[in-house]
Amino acid sequence: MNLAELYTTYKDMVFNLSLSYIQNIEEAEEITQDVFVAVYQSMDTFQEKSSINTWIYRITINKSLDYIKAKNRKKRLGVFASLFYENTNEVKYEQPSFNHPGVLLEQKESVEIIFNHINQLPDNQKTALILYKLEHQSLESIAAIMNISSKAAESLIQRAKANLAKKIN
Amino acid sequence: MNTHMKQADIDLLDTIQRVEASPYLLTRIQQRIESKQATRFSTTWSWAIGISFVVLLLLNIATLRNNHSASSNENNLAQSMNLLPNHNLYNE
Repeated sequence: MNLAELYTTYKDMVFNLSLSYIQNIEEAEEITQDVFVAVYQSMDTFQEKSSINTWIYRITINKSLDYIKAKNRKKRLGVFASLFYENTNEVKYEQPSFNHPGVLLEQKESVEIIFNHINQLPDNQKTALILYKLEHQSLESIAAIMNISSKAAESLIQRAKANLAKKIN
Repeated sequence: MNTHMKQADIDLLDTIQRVEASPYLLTRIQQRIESKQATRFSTTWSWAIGISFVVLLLLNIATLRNNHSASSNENNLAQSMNLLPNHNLYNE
């Protein structure tokens, strides 16, 4: 498979998954580009121990989590810088607003709140929940993507749901 | 009631629709790959130039050392054969 074929087959999967992590179109597009560049660069080293689908899922998850970490680092740095520079009462880096094109307008506010809570979950719980609720993956494929057992995947989802329920009310 | 509310809230996630990626992304990805390859090419060249400079430097050092030891060998030989230039005639 060449890049164009891979892109045609997996672009929506990659874009939607990164959108679930970031909830912003521009940033999800940025991650999608990063993912396909990484896929292209490591295509030769891809060993068919897992399916190509699982492999691309993993790359997307890693790129999304890395992006979030970098964004948070930038945000912390912005807060820190605003303490030292004069005439800057505002934070230098502002998190872009919630911009998920898949959310219905009338539910935008409620879904944004839920995503805010999901974003506070530990990475593995967040990943398991996103794969289960938003990507509609089976426990077996979640286990394969996350390189854990099906039972561990199920337990992560249950914990994520419980934590989310606690946070919602 | 509370639990039902929470479950209903979480179930809102099921209503999120799939979105299509922008058709222009592939062009941007290809551009990124090309620019990365260009950068990698220049990086390879700069490494190659750097390494050849170091090799040349090492060769020079090795040649200088060899010359030094060769000339001291020649001196030893000349000394043993009394061929060193001095101002004493007939070794007086």
